[in-house]
Amino acid sequence: MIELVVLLKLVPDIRHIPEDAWDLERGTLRRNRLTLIPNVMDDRALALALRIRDVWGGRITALSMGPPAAKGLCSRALAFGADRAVLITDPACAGSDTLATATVLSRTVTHLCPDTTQVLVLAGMQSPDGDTAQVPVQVAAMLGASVVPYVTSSWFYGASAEGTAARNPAGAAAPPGAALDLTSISSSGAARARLTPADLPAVVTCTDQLPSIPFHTSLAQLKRASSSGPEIVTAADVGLPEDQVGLAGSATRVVSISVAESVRRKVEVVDWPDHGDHIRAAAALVARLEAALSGASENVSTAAGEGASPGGGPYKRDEPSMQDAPARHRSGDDGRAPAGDTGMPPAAVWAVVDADPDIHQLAILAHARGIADAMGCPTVACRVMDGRGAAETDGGVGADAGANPDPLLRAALGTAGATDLLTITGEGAAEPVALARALEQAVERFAPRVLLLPASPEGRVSAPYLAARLGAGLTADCTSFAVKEYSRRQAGERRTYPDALYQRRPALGGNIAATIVSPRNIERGLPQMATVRPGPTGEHRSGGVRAHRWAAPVGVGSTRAAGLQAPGPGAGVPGTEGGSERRGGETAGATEAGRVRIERCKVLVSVGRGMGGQAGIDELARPLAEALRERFGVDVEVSASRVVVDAGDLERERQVGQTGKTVRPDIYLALGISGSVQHRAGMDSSATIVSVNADAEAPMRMISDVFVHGRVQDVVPPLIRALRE
Amino acid sequence: MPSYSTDSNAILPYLDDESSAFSGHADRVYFPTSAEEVAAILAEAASEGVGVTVSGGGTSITGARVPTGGGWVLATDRLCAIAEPAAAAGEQWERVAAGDGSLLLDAERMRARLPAGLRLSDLDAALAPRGLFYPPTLTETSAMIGGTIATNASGARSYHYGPTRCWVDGIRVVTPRGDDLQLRRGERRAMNGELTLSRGLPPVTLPDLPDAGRLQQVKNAAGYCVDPSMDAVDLFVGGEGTLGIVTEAEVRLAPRQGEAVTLLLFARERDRALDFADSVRDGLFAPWTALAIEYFDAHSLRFMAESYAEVPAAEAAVLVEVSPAEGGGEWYDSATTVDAWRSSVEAFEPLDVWAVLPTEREQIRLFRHSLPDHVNDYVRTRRGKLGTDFAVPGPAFRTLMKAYDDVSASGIRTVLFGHLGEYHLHLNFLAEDAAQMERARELYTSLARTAVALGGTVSAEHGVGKKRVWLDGGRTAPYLELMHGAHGMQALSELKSQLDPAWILNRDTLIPWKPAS
Repeated sequence: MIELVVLLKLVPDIRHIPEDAWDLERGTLRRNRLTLIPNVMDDRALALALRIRDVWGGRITALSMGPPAAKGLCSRALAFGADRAVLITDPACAGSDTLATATVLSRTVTHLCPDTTQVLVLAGMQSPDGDTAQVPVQVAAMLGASVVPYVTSSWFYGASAEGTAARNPAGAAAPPGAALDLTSISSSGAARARLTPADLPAVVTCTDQLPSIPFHTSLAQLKRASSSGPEIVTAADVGLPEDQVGLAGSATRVVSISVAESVRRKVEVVDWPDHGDHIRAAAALVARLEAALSGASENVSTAAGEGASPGGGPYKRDEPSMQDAPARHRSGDDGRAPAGDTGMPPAAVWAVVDADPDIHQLAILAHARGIADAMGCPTVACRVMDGRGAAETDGGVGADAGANPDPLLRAALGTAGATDLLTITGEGAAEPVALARALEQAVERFAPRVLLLPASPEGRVSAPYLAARLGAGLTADCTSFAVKEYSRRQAGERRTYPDALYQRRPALGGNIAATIVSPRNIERGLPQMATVRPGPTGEHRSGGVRAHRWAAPVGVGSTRAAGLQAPGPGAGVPGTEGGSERRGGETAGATEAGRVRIERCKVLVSVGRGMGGQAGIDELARPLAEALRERFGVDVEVSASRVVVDAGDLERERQVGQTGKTVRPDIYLALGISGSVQHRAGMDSSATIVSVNADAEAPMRMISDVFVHGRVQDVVPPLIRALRE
Repeated sequence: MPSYSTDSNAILPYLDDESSAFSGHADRVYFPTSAEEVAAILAEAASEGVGVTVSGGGTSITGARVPTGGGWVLATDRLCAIAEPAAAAGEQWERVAAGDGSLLLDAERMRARLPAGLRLSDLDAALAPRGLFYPPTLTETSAMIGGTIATNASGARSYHYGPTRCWVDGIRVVTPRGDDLQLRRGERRAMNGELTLSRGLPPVTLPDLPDAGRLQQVKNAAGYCVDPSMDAVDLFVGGEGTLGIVTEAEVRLAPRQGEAVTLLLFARERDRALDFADSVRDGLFAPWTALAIEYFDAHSLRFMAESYAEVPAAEAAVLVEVSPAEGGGEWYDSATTVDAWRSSVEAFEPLDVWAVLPTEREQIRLFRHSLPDHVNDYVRTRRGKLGTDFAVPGPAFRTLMKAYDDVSASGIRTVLFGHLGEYHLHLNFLAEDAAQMERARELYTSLARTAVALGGTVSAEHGVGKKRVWLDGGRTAPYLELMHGAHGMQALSELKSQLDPAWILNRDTLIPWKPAS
């Protein structure tokens, strides 16, 4: 019998954080002031499970780990149709990080469903408190399951009488066992996967773009849910000793939590005049935009230092700033390995970059270099490429012969901070899980001290998968780092970790910043691991980059976990289930040649709900982008918030935010965007943020440098005129 | 003398209300910050013979705050500070920041002292972390405390909690004669038809309204609350600001309740829906408490089905919010109770019953809100909407429903929905054209007369303000005249004259102002 396991979490309601939840003196959050609610993305997972059960049959188990109050959450899942609910509630589990949580959850899954080849785990992509997206992926790693992350739409295919693939209309009965096709978020817009019962075990994580459960149920279901209730289990019940769960089983430690003051900007509010003086107001706004653009170019050199470490001294106190840091590990002038160096430097700081990195993605190297300089070790840019049939059984290490990578790339990597370039080839490594498996072997071979991955859709899968395989702590979505000594008392003894990586990351939808260390990684000789948000790039005098090539031993690509087949060309364009619009998703990725790269633009004209749909985009946003382009001579594109993309008014690749792209333009011009936390996460490090909104209370206001209080329709036309003057 | 503005931009926001059906003009807008300043403004107005219109949050739909006759506007926006009271025994006032000012909270005794300019949303934000709430909280949370007291506003759960009047225990009120009065419930009651507001002031002679006693049994927001043994506080609660300006109030609070389950019963026949509501009032869900009982007719459901396809084609639906008794458990701890609900609800042979959990409160709010959204969309391209606000005593309710049925035979599209728990539904006429609107107005007046004849009120929650009622031949009359007749209006007018001899305050609200020639 197919076991559909839905992971549920009770999360704080971050949209309604009461003012007094902040302890401003201590800079912390009083968590008991927050209301706990079901995670909306988990509801999508439950809805998808219900749909799958209709077609595949099987049993739905709602599984949650949490305080006894989570009993209501489990009962709610029963009321919406889950067959049983299990709540792991155990004081020993308190303080679990993602790794310890995944350990408990995966062990409980195997305890409940010993035949894991029947198990399909469904979970929300992430929870709004931590936003790490790690737990479901780590559960997959521990179960040896495939992962389909960040699903945005789903539909069942079945064979018609003629034997050709035919899409089943939403809600209609699909043949038992019909394949489930899933579309998910990827860096290029959308990825597709096909899942059949033969592909289990698998883990599917759901975005809030999927249809949710209905908001009502029946009294009969309520009765059933209230009379059965969840089964309560403890860690010991599923065979886990206390040292593997809770704080003891966690690889990371939260050092401090502070109210994220830095996200709030000093806002200049412009009340757009009702009548008359539009011209003067528009001219003033143009001058402000002009100043923002010229200011941004002047500040390039300092931006790197500030951005890398907003919390104070960058990296080590006694360390010179990154730009001036002597390249202590600079390689030879000709780019070849210096004499006597026959291979990869051990104990280095690694930063994973795309197989074909473009310079806009190299911000991660600025962080890596800062850390490496503080630790006194080389900075390795690490790219993992899909390559088959590597000859050497050991993988084979050596200085690259020079044909590939090309000198321009090496120069770019060097300027961005790399001292070495390691090219890893592994079978199927274009796919996040296979990439993780290739990296896993490279980590075992070369033992890096620090491993950074980009906080991209793929990096946010590869990193937790790898961390779970290694048993390492991982900190997601870091914005800055410092290298310092960390010490703690353990079993009555004080332990000191000299070069601990202090990783700073936003949490609770950007409302707080947490600083986290991973002592267990140091103890076990594992790299300290983090995923890194896009940020400013560094500029280093580089004498050249030593190149190395290593092939991961054969077999990586053949693991079950390496991924699922993509639907064949005959599958046609996917439709959607559940009636939500997804026109943008279909076109995304299809226009490979003319790909829009909003993340590269100096200025973004970003549109939201207040833009007035397609007409507003065509008549106002696009002409404004054009006028800005002409006036300032820089790249300007139109981007959007999720609602606009969901409505099909713009392509998915123009979407900014947590489920879209992270951008950092010199000017982010937000037109009619209220500014949900998910949207803000994708743009809040923009150099200058200018918002236009009719709602004076729009959350966007608190992160804006200039807030124009007025209707987009009133502000944009005079602004275009002023730009053209 | 308190400052004022004559700037048209400053005045503009005070020239209409949510209804957009009234328009006014004003020479000045005052923003007093204290009761003393309010008194000074009224004294000045009296000496100049200028009318003063009091304005709160502007959420009314009766034109009460619109200065239709010009004069000055007194905005309560900056009445947001609260004076320290003389500490009485057993009181523990803590100052809590709220909105632009503060309030005083005695959490132990569940009481708060609030300034008139405090918005309900700010009040709620201040109370929420302390596990308390102010029960008569409206859906329009930008309303100000002063306005809700002046209009005796009803909250979304007034079936259980009652209107604002039930929660106001004391007020500080400035009268047009310049008296700054502190009134506490229970301290001053009417005797022999006279009410003394303060030692040293001549007593107010109360009008003898034959309906007054009977209306106590009905949810009512139409006109003064006068009866032979009334409390002085109640003269000003619901007085629509015509007798004095409330600057501060002491209110009672309740422990915060969040865990209500909402049940929506879709009935095959309308009478089954009404029977169900009667049973709920009689304790069908005991030991749980019904907080609200709401009604949707078939037309309403059809509108809602435009957004929610799963809405069954029922003749009527009744929505009940049930909450565990204080200290009671959660729904999932109450298997026996839930099972009992199930069998009792079955007895009404519903088409369907929806159960909505407390976690889905936002979704059910959106669901309910879809009705006015669709209705407003519908009338946008047509002549307009005309809505009733009548309530009658329970035993007369089905008679009124019969009258509503007769009206729907008129050919004008209607929707009927509202607060069934209090026998208070809103019948909305959706007129296609001018002729239908004309006809709707006639039907409206006739229904209003029916409601009054049944012992009911012409306004259960909206209030009266500057509304008028249509009579034959295009004539109109003051709205309250339907209830009290010409004689009653004269009596109310005399009451007003005793407190406001120069008729300074809120002219044309409740009672038409006839300037002395």
